[in-house]
Amino acid sequence: MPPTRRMQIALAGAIATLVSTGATLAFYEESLPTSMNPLYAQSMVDNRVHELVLDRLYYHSPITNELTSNVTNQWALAEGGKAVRLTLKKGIRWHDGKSFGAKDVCYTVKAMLDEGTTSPIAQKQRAVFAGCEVEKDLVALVRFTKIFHNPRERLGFQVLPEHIFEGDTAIPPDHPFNTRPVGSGPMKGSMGRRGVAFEQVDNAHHEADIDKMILQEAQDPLVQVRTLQNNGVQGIIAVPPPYRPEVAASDELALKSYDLRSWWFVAVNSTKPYLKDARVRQALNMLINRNELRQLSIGVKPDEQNPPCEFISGPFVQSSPYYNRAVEISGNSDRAAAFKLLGAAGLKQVGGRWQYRGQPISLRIGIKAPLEIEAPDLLSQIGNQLSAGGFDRQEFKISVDEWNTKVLTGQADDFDLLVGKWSFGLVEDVNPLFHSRTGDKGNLNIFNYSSKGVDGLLGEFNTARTDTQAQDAYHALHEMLASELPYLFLWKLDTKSAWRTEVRSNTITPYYYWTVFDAWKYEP
Amino acid sequence: MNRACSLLAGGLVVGLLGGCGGTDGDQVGKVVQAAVSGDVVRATWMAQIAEPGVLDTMAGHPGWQAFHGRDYAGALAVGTEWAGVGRVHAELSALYRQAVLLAARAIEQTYKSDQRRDGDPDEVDYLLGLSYAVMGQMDEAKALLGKNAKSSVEALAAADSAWSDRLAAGDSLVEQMDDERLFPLSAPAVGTLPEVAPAPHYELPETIGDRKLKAADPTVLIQLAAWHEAAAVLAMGADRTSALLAPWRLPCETPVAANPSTFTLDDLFLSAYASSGDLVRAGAVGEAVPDSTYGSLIDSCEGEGAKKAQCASAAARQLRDQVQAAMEMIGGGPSPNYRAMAAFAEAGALRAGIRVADASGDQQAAGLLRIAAKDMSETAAVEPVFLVSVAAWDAGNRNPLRAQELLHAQLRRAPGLDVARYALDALHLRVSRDSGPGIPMH
Repeated sequence: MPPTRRMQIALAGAIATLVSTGATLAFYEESLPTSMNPLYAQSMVDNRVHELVLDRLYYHSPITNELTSNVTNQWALAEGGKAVRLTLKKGIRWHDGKSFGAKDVCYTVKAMLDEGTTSPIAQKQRAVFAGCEVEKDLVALVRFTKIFHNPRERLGFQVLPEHIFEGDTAIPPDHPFNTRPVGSGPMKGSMGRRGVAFEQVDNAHHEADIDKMILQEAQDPLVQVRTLQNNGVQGIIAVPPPYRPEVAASDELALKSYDLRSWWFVAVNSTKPYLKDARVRQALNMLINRNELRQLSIGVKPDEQNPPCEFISGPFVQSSPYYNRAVEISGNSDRAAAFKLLGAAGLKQVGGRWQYRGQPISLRIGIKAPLEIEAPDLLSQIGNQLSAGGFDRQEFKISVDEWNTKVLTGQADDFDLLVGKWSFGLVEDVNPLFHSRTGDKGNLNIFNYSSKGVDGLLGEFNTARTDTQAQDAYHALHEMLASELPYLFLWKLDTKSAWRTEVRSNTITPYYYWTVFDAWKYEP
Repeated sequence: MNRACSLLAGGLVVGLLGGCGGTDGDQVGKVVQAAVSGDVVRATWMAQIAEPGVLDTMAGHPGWQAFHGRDYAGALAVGTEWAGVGRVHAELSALYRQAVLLAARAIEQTYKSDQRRDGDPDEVDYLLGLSYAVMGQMDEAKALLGKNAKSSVEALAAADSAWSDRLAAGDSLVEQMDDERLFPLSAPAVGTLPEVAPAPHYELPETIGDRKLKAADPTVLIQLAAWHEAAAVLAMGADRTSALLAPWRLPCETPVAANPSTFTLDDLFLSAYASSGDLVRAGAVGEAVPDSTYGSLIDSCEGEGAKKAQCASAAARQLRDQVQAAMEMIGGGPSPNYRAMAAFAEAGALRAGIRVADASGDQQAAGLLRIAAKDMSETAAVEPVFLVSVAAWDAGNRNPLRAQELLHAQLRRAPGLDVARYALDALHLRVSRDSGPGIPMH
């Protein structure tokens, strides 16, 4: 091990030990959260943190899957099934001591309905909710746009405190609540520059056993694992695959499944003249040797049975009903076929390097920086493969902030390729990723890719009356995207957490993670 | 020996791994708290294989090597002389049973009366009727089977009639069926896998629009379960087969009592049943079985819900440590395989806890223990039957997400398992389209 890495480990251990004195539970997250407002959640880190600080109206038990609520104790259908009357529990307080009530539930619904709330999540909710009425302090009537089957399933949103926003239902993305939230969840959170500190709050509906908790930003994976082994931290949310055997072999650590549907991609900037022709993108896809990439960055051997990382040929994981199994997966590279396509698309090779209209092509490739922790060296390995295929390249690591403000807003035009990961829960709506950016559509379309055919299929999915229509639309989408390749689809990577065995009853909720945090115990 | 060494080596390791290097100083002299009496531990298969020479003989056999990784095709290819061949067939039969239960529960949760949607094909009544039959709800089954005997989907109409006839005649549900309408398989042959009709089996017209729902018939899984049961009987006799299948029989089947004296080490090796008593107990919940390793452990856990689950988890871990220590003592020192073998004891104890919690209706404890046992069974102590049973449990709880991951990971192990995927996909579509909106997160 290089001396600097040894020092990193020692230092990280010392710092973590310092902060974890007094039975404070410390853990490594992929990165810091970017917003504490659930309406503006962009990353899985945001999602997980919100689960600690706020309450969703309804959630599914991670154990029995029962639909349940911490904040309501009664519900009834109303208005012929187009509304639900909710009776809230008594005595719930916000973290600042104010009462939690029907006004907060209705405020949240109205904030989502307000066009001034520019959140993509709120935009989606506008198709679900028609309004909300405070009938009594603890009784809210939530109205839907139509009669839904199992309407409580639509009530999985987090409740926001009306008083903090002073009743103004237009919530901007830069509202102070985003960094200094007032919640009703089991923990009060305060975001610092290097981490988030959580403190348990007594409440009528929560009784968390753990008093204090600290979220630290992940660093070098070896440092994370060593710090965990040395009890400098007690948990790691996502353990990179190469380190899992070591964690599994320890009596002091437990590897735990975190059910999440995540897939990795390389987005291709098809607005660049030299990447506009689909044949060039197809050639890039053929130059990528996924088997080699997976082996070098994640440590999966080609013949490994049930690897944590499984290739995909479209925007769904293989276990999804939306995955089109008829579309072939490309595991190895095919340089000859790639070169043929590049030639047909008008690119010329001069001195072994590809040129477009007499100019050498130098690909600017970026990656969301925290992904390099989960898949070390992935960026340079992709760069190496493309370089071996005749493309010059420059590599960049992109901070989470820049990813949010530049990449997700479609303003990363200075890049040619971007390596990223998308995560989904039960709902695998990929429309925001591939629809043309128009109005409230395509708001996560990284390189502003636009295709009438794709837009049509996404529309079919949205308006599907039956499950089969929706499935057929996404199967056709998968096939089309695998041909047009606005993304080079890489793989699904399982997520595993590691926790020290002193942390008990630590049930991890699929996708949301901390939903049943009240039951977690830390007994050092 | 480094503990990581045995895990990293994959599979079973014959002899000592000189190449791994290191010492296991931290393990020598480790104080282990006894979970059960020493006699009980000595009766476990883990202790028996720790006797000098036994483990190397078994672990060196290509059949057990393949079976350890649950490579069923590889294990069967070893040949009919191998003592474990009947075990493979029995486990496959159990696996298909759990897959058909998974499909049945998913179909019920998708198409039962309060979950029907406009557009659902009329023919789903057949799938639902068959599912009720699998789940032992014969009145509901009889009310639905036969309704589609005149469907335009001819293959389904024929299967519907055939099942309707069988139920009316009081025939057993899980047995080999030669009826041409019910996806018959070839005659059972030990050491082979039968050819299976590929799914989907039907395209069912929806009642609105012009789409057709692709569906697979769980009958195929029933036939596979019966075929492998018959092959197991040919290989190892009816008593041992019956005992191995007892914990995994379907609700529609009649339980058969097992005799613990019929078992050999070959029946238990690399299973989550530490002793023959554990196997008998697993097939007969609620009945006292005096020499069960897990029984004495789990029955001492009081309370319910999380408390019971915690107690059972702690006891299971303690048992693993005790079994590992016993193996090291009997074997004359540490071996890279002992930790992996002892993990089966922990997984088995957790699963014994699940059965007790299920029997007492303690859903919370049963769920917590399932999750704990599932996490164990994905790394050490791999048993696809158990993992598919967890998927079946999830499907019954309308939780398709984890069920899909679990099933998907097992598809390569046994041809025809993908039949269950069609039912699970339908459930996923229904449940996810009922959910509130979600957007991709980075």
